[in-house]
Amino acid sequence: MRRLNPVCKFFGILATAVVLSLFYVPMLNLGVFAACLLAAACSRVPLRHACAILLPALLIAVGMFFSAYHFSADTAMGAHSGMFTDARVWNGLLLAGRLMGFAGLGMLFTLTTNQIDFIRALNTQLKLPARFAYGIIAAWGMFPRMAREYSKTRSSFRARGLRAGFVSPALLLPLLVKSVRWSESMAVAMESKGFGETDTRSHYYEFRAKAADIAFAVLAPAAVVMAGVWLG
Amino acid sequence: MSSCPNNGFSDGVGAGAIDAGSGSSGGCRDNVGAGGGGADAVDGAGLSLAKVAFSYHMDGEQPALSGFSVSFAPRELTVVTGASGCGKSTMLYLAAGIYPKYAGSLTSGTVRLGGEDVAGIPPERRAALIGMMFQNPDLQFCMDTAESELIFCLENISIERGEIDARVEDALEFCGIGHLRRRRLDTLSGGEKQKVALACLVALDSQWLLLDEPFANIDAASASELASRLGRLVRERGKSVIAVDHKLDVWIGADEQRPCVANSITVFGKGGIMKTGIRPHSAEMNGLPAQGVDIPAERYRPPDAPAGTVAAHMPTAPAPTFVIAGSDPQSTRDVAAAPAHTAASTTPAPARETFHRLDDVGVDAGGVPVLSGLCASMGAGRIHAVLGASGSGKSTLLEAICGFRPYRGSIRAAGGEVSRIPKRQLCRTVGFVFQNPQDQFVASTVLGEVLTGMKARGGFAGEAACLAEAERVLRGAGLWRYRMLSPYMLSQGEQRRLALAALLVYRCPLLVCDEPTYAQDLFSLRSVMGMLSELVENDGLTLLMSTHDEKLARDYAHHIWRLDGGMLCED
Repeated sequence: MRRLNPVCKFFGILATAVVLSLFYVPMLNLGVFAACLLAAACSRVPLRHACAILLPALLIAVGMFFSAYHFSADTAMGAHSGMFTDARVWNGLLLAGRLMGFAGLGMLFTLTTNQIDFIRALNTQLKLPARFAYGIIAAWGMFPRMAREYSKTRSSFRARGLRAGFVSPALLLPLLVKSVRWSESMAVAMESKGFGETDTRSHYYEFRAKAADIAFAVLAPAAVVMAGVWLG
Repeated sequence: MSSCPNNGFSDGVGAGAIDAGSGSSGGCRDNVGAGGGGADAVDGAGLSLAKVAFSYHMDGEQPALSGFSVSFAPRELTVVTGASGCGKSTMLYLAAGIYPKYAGSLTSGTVRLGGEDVAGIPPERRAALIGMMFQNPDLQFCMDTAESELIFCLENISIERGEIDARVEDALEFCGIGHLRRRRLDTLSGGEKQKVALACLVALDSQWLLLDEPFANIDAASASELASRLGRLVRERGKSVIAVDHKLDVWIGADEQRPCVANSITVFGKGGIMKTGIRPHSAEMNGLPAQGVDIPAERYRPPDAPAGTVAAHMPTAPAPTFVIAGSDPQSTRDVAAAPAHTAASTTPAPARETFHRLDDVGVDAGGVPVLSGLCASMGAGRIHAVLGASGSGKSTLLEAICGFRPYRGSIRAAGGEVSRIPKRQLCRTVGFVFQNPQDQFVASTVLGEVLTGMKARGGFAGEAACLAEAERVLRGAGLWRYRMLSPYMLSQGEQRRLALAALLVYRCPLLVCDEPTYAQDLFSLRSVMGMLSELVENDGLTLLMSTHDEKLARDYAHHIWRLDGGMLCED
């Protein structure tokens, strides 16, 4: 998965998610989720990173399952599959499985794709304007700094004997001021390195869609369609 | 040539000495005022600002530069120095074509490189002519790794793919950072980041390198190494460098380890240039401290005054009078204005009993042990300095002492274990002054900043008494007229004074300062350190400060520790 062209991978996974949303088959959802786990394992995605994404989704999915189980509008709804004779179980699994299917697809893309390569590929292959593309990359680099500054701001409140909650507006004001200044500094730094308004840049990184990339973008959603028809 | 104001130079330098002719030996010609013939005197490759009037206000009010002219000759390293707020950085940003696009308005005058208007050159072409290195190493990178950043630069100026590899290799090799090639930029130290920034300029092959206090955030060893590489760029590759800096030691060489790399020095004063073409180590340099410039031969504190005494800190220019809330008005300290003979003491303060203690302290950062086995004791009425390279753990140690980080072992402040002191009470035991004053502000106005501390401390008979005390403190710090402004709108020196004033109202027995004189000119440094020294001397405050500046530590501290390899050693 890591070697796939980022743009083809993105569209392949996006199309798969769209197709998945058109079917109402619990086993299809769970099958997609399992396939995502398998692909992630084959791509040597660190378990810790995968869990960081999937565990919150799992928690919500469990909640959705029980909500759908207990508050099913129609007790006979959709219970035509031989595997799920209880409509409430079917209903719960449908919603929870769908959420896990989407979470699995998102996890697979996020953890097997270099975000900067993805933006570069959007810039070179899909002609996303360079100002927009590199603006996103610069903003992306700000997040770790934001976290450090947030921690520093909390420390400053403690140093002054003030209490500030986790999302206190008092903490957000200094962060807001700093963010504006950072964005100005970043814009100046980028321009001083020759980043201009005209898109006459050369491109060091080449992103080309090979046969395998196109095959993934086509076959992944097609496989879901076939599985959905077969299971449905 | 127009005349210069009295500039404090002892050799009669002034109107007569500043003429176009001086530039031929000094690299930088002319002058102040509307005359400015020197702007046209430099050859075609020169960088010149002619009769420039620039204001940060869009209506042109309160100009930062007014009728200002200066020219810089190519293929030399010129250091531009002077007190804070005299327009050095503004000049640099104009020369780089960043202003007025990003701030302010240029009401008159021209900024030209080789006869071409700098602001009119498109960024992708301008980068090959003028490159800029900024003070804050954290805010000049767009990409994630050094290699990506260099490639980004070269793509911007349309370098062909086949040539990019060679230029990246050359830039990394020149700056000696081949090993950092694929390291994430956010994991690098400040010195390493500045080397990557320099590598970007080398890769861009900019003819002019403009540097805005590039060493303010990094340790002396890294600064010297960077300065020597910049010197090589001038000597070996014919580049031109203009560096704005308060401190000259890394440029002119303070010792054998730091050779002189500067060709000339230009001094700015209020309203324009006071002197150009000063040769390093010439007699003319003796006048620089009077302009707020630190030179290697100048001590921050006169050598006959012992550490921690007021006599040591007399600034040579007017500076604010600090008044500490809750202190006796009769003993109000006017550190700046008091003449030396009124100093509280001219003999070393007697050592007082140990008041704060570190026993076998260890601190982790990100799960990795950074400090271990630290032992130290700090007496009341003493200044303790912690030296160490960037990334050695100075800030980590200070944060642990202030209770911001968990630690192993024991840290006792004023008799209490820091980790057990209730959080609301800790601020009255240990005060922490952040390296960047902006990190410390908690209120939306200058007045609110001081009132916050007073309310947290308590002990005032009503709102009116609290307000009166806040007024006294702010007037003492020279900030009363800014009371309704946001702290973020103050200048850097004013922000530093506000941060200190706001914290000193707590009257903590232990004050911990992370780089208290970071990015300050000589006046501001003496003012801040004079105030702190007097509190130490008269009120028995214990001051613990971290710094990269060995001279600062030697001039003011009673005890100096060096943090190296996670261990604290007596210097």
